[in-house]
Amino acid sequence: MRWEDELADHIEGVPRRPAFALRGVGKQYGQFFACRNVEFEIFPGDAIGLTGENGAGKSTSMKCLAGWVAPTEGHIECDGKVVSFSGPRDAERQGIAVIPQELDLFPELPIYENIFIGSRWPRSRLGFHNRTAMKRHAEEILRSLGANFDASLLVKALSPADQKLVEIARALSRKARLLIMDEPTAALTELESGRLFGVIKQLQKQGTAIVHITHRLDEVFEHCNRIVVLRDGSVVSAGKTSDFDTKSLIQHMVGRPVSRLYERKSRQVAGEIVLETIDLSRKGLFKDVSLQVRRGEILGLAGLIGAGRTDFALSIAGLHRPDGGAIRLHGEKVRLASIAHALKLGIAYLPEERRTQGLHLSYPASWNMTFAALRLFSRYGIVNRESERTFSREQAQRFRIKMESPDVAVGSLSGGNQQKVLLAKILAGNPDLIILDEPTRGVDIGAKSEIYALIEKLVENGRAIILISSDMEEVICLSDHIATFYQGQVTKIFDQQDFSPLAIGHAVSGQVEGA
Amino acid sequence: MLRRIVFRRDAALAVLFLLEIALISALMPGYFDINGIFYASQGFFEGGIIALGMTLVIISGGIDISVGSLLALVVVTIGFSYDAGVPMPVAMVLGVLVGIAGGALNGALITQLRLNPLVVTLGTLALFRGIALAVSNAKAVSSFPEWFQFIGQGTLGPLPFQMIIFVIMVISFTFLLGATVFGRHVYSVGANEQASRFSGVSPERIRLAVYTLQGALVGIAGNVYCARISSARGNEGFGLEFLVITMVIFGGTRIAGGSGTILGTVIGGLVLWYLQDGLSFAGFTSDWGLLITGTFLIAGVLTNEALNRLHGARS
Amino acid sequence: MKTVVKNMTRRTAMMTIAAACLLSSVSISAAADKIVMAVIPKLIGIPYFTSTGVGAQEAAKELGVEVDYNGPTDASVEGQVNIINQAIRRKVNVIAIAGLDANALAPSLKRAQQAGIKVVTWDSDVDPSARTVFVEAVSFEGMAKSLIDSIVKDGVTEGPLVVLTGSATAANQLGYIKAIKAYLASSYPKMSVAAVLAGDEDAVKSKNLVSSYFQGNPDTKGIVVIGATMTAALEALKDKGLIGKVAVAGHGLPSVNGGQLKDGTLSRFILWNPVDLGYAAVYVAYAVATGKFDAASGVVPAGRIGEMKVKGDTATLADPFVFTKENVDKFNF
Repeated sequence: MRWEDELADHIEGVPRRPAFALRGVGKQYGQFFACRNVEFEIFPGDAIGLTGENGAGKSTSMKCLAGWVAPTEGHIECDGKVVSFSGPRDAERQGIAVIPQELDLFPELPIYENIFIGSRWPRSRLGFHNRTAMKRHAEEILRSLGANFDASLLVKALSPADQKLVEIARALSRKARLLIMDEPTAALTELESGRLFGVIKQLQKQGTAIVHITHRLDEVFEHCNRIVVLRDGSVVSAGKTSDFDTKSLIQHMVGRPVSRLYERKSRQVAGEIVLETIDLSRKGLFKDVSLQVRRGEILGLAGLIGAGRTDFALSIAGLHRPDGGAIRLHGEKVRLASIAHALKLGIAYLPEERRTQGLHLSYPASWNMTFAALRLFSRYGIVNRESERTFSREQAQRFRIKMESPDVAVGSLSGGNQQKVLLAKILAGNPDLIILDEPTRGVDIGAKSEIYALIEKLVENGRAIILISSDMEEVICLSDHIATFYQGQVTKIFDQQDFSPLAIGHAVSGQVEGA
Repeated sequence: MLRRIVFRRDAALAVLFLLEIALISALMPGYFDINGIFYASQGFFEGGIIALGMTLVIISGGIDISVGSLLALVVVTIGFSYDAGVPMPVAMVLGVLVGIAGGALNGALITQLRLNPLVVTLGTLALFRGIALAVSNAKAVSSFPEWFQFIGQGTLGPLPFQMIIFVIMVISFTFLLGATVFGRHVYSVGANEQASRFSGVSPERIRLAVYTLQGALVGIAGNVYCARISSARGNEGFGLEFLVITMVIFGGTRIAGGSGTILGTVIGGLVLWYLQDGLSFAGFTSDWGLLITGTFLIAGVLTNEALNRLHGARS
Repeated sequence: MKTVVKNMTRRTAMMTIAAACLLSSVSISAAADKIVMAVIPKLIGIPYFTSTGVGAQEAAKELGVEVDYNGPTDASVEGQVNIINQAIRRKVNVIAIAGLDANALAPSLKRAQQAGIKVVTWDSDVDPSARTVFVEAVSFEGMAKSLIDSIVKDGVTEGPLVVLTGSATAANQLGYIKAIKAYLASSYPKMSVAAVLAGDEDAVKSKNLVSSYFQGNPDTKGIVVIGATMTAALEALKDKGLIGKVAVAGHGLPSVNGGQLKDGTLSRFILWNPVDLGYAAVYVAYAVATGKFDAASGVVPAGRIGEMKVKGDTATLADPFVFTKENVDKFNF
C-alpha cells in the first residue's frame, strides 16, 4: 500500500488543520542568511521529507522551529496561533521534540532515567524518585514502540537502533506531537532502519507528525508523504511525494540538471590479484575471512554495524594484528606491523570518521594532504614546503576541492570538500590497494557524485579497492563483488550479476539462501 | 591564515617585551644598561632550555612536571661524580645521560603503560627528587674547575656564555619543530592522536622521543645550572617546572596540545623573566616573583583559549 | 584576523598599564648619599628569618641607611646567586648575606667585591676570601658550654650522653659537637658523648633514632639536640616514659617549643636571639661600609647591644640565649 493511501485511511474526516506552520521564517547571521522565507505547514500524521544539500538551511530552519535559535524574521504557528519560543523548553511544551543525528543519551545511565531526564520524574509519597514507577512507565512507552527490553539496562548496552527508540520514547514521554529527526538512520543498517520506520509509521497513525531530515532519497520516497526541498536557505519546491521522482528531486536540490547519480561505467577486465586473505581471524572480531581483490576492481563489504567489516579492514590496514590466517600481497605473504608499514607496502585506508580519524581539522589543507606520505615531500627528514604547496594545489584541482588557498584550515571547508581532502591525503602515497570505509558519509549529493567519479577513475587506473559502506545502493552500484559479513564471518560472496538488495539484505542478517 | 595568526602572536609578544623593557627603564633610572640587561638574563637560560623541550611536550599533548626534580638529579650526578674523582667532561656527559634516562623513563611509563602524563611526572617529580636528596645526603659539592664555571658565569663581551648555547638550541628547535617531519608528527599527535595513527604515525614513538628529548635538555640545562651557581645539591630546582610551563603557555602554546611555537616560548619567557627582574630590581621581595608567574600562567591560558575560540568561530 | 590583532593590542596595552601601576608604586632606591644594603637571608617567609629581618630594619632606622631584605623563597643557592647578581646591578654599597653554601656563593660575591661592594656574612659563613667579616650568632664554645650547663642544671654530672644532630656533615653542627666534647673533657670529665645520631632534620627519622637508641642504651643520662628536631626527640622520650628522667638540652624555637616549656615537658632550650643577630649584622655591615671596621681593635660597636667581640675576621654576637617559660612569650619567631 502506498503511503498516502494509508494516511488517507486514518485522516479522513478529520479537519485538515495544520498543527504547526513556519511562516516566512528566516535567520540572519551578520550579512549572511542561513535560511530565509521558509514557509510550510505540518499536519498531524504528516511525514515530511526535508531535503537539500549541506548548507541549504535544513538544520537552521528546524532549529528555529524547535526553539534552539530565534528567527530574525517570520514566525512559528502552533495550532493556528502565533508563538515565540525563548528556548527549546518552550517548544517542548508545544509538543515539538528533536532527535538529533548524534546520540543524545547518557550511555552510563539506565534507559528509564534517560527517558525521564529533564522532565518531572515520578515521585513517591515521600518525595523521592519512584524508580519502580519510572521503570514501569518507561517500559510501557517502549512497548508501544514495539521494544520489549528491560528499562533498567544501561543505554550503552543497546544497539544504535534501540538507542534511537529510547530517544523517541523520551520524546513521547513528553507528549511530543512533532518529531524532528535528523538523519535517524545514519548509524543504522538496512534492517534496523526498516524497523525504525515501522515504529514511525505507527506513531503517524496516532497523529504524530514527523519531519525527516535526510540525504537518503530512497527513504524520502518510501516513507514520506510530502517533500520540502531547500536550497540556499529557501524553499525551492514543496509538494506531495508523488509529484517528485528521483531525478526531479535531485534537480531541485542541486539547482541544475544532473545525470543519474550512480551511473555505472563498464569496467575493463580485472587484473592480477593484489590482496588475498586466507582464513584471516582476530579473536572476537572476525573469523576465517578468505577474500581476494584484483587490480581494477572494487570489492564491496556489506554487513551490519559490528559484523566485523571494519575490524577486518583495519587488520589489512595494519592497525590491528590478526591472530590467525595470512595476508598475501601481490602473492607474497606479509605481516603488517603497523599502519606505517602497510602504507609503505601500498595499502591505504580511508577511515570512516573523517573528523576524528581522518583529518587534523585545525591544520591547513596542504598540511593534511601530504601528511600520510611525508617521506615523498621531504629529504633527510626536512619537509619541502614548495613541493608540498605545488602538490596540494594540483590535488585541489584534480579533486575539485573548493578552497581559497592550500593554507586554509581544513575544518573550515564543507563536509564534501573535507572528504575530498581526505581522499587526496590517502592517495598521496600512490597506493595499490585502497580501503574506503564509508567514503561518502555526511557529504552532499554533488560531492557524492564527484567522489564516485574519482573512485571510478582509480579503478580505471588499475587500483584495487575495498569498499565498506552502510549505503546499500552505494555498495551495489560501485562494487564488482560483494562479500557479506555476519557476526565476524563472510556469509556469501556475490558476483555482480547476482546483486540484489534483498539477497544481500538477507545475507548480512545471517540468512543465506540455499545454505 | 593559521601561520599568519601564529606569526602575529609572536610579533605581539615581541612588542610587549620591548614595551616592558622601555617602561621598566623609564621608571627606574639606572636599570637600563646593556651589560646589566644581558647580565640579568644569566639565570634565564636553564629554564629557557628546558622550556624548548616543554614546548614540544605540551604541543604533543603531554606535560612534564618532573623537570625541576630531574634537574636536581642531573646536577647532583655531575657534582658528586666529579667529587668522586670522575673527570669533569665525563661528569658532564653523565649528567646528560641521567637526564636522558629520566626523560625516557617518563616517556616509557606514559606510552608503554598508557598512564596519564600528569600523574607519571608527579610520581617521578618525587622519585627524582628523592634520589637526588638521598645521593647528596644533604651535602653539597661546590668546587668545580674554572673552565666549567665559565659555562655558567663567563661572558663574551657583554654576552653571557650560555646565551650562545641557548641561541644555537633555539635555532635548532625552531627548525626541528617547524621544518622537519618529526616536528610535524609532534604537532599532529597533539592535535589529533587518532588521525595521526591512521596516517601511519605512532603516537607512542613520538611521545617517547619527545620526553627523552626533554630529558636530554634537562641534562644540558643541569650542566649550565651547575656551572652558574657552582654548586651541586639535592634541593635545587624546586618549582622550576612551574616557571617553565608558564613560559611555554604564556608564549602561546595551548595546554591542550597541537599548537605553539618555539619563538613564542622564548619571547614569552623573556617577558616573564624581565618583569620579575624589574620588580626585583625595584626591591620587591622574591615572593612577588611567584605571584607574577602565577598571574602570567593564568593570563596565558586565558589568552590562548580566547584566541582559539576566535579562530574556531571563524572556521 | 583584524579582531585577533585588536585583541592582541588590547592585551598589550593592559599588560603595560598593569606593569606601570606595579612599578610606579615602588620607592626608587638610591638617593645618592644614602648607604644601601642588600641583606640576604637563607630564605624568606619563615619565622626565624622574619625575626632577623625585623632586627635588620631596626638597625637601619637607627643608622639612617636603606636595607633591602630579600632572600629566596625556597632556600636555593640559585635564588641567592640571583639576588646577589641583582644587588651588583643595583650598585648597593654592602651585601650582608646568610650563606647557603660556603663555596658556591664565592664567585658571585667576589664579583660584587670587584664591583666595589663590601661583603659581610652573618648566621652562616662563606669562603673567607669572598667576604670581609663574619657575624656569628654564637661561638661554638659558647653554645657547647650553654648546652652542657643546661644538662648540669638538670642534675646530671656524670654518665653517657647522646647527641641528636640534624646532619652528620654540616660544618656548624660538626663544630658544636667538637666543642661539646672539648668542654666535657675539660670541665665534666665524668660525662661523655656516647653516640651521635644524625636525623637529617627529619622528624620521623629523628624520633625513630632516639627511640631505638634509648631502647638499647637505657643507662643514657641525657640527650643534646642540635638543629630543629627537639619535638621529635621529646616525643620519643615521652613514648618511652623518660620525660623528667633524662636530662634534655638543645636548640629550640619559641614558636615551636614554647608550648613544651609551658607544660613542663622541657625546662629550657637554648638559641640566640635572631632579632639581635639581624640587628648586629647591619651594624657590622655599616662599620665595614664606612671604613670604621678595624679587626685589630677587637671590638665593633653594635647599637643597643653594645660592643661585640671581634676575633680575627669573626664578630660574635653574645652568649647563647636561654629560653624558659618566663621569657618565651616575648619572642615570636
